[in-house]
Amino acid sequence: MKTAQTSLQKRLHSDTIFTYVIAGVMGLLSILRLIHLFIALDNVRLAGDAYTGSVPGDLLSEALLFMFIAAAMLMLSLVLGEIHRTGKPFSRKNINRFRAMAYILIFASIIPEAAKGLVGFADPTATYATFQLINARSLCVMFFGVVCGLVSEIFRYGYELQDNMDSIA
Amino acid sequence: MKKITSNLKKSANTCAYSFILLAFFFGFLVLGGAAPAILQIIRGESDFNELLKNLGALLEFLFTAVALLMMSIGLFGINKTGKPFAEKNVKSFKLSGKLMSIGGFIGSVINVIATRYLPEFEQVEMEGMGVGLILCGEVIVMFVDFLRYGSEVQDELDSIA
Repeated sequence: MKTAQTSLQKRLHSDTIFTYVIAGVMGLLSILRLIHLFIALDNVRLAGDAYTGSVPGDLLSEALLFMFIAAAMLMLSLVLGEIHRTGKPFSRKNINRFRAMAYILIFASIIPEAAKGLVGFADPTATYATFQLINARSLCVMFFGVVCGLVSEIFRYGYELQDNMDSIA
Repeated sequence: MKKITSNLKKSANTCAYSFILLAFFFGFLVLGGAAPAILQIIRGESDFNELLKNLGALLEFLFTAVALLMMSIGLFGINKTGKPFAEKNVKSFKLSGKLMSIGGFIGSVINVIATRYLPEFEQVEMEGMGVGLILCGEVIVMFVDFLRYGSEVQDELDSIA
């Protein structure tokens, strides 16, 4: 049992750092997209003309998606960090984090597309607006959310087992 | 514990069917990728780079489809026994992770080779899907380590009981 714990701790060190880096990069991309969005809106206000280049709806959708992914990756890195520290994967905190990750990813599959659609409708210069709630990308993200939900259930089962064993020992 | 097991069974069942659907989708993509490659060979077209590109995509989809099938087998195992840490399930998850990583790696390498032979050298590209598959495979293998830990806990508990 001790060997399994130490091997988990060793293995997860680099994974934890890697997920923190990905979370940081995603957060940065989200901020950059938001800055890009504000610049695009400002250009429109100054020029009073139709949008050129990236459409604000797309920028907002991407910013939100990156933000949600950054939050999910942050949760994952917290999970990995705790496992690296304690050597025990099954804890109440980790179950809640995985559940939060599942909800974040499910929201990430819906909210960015919805925001894009709403911005499209609100745009006075747009000649037409479409509202597409589900596409291949959002389905993919939703699928990952469902898998995270399953992982949280597996962790819950493991936590109960570990709890039983601790009470016996 | 019974409630947890029943919840787990339900989630595993839902995910298993989703994985099977995805596997079939990738199976269709394999057929879609194979068809132009076979046509190219039959027609005797000499565009080696295009053939390599098709082959790379085809291998990626094929490995992913098989990996997803293995994953759904593992999930059906969880649904059947209610035990996520059983040796059989863990093995099928591990195999699935490895298959995904290998498929992504081979696909990426073939794609890079195919694009390198193009006259414009700046068109060398690492294919996004291949890299994504390698990462997915690694994440699955990492989760298999957690499952292994769980199976050790279960073994100890069984031996005490």
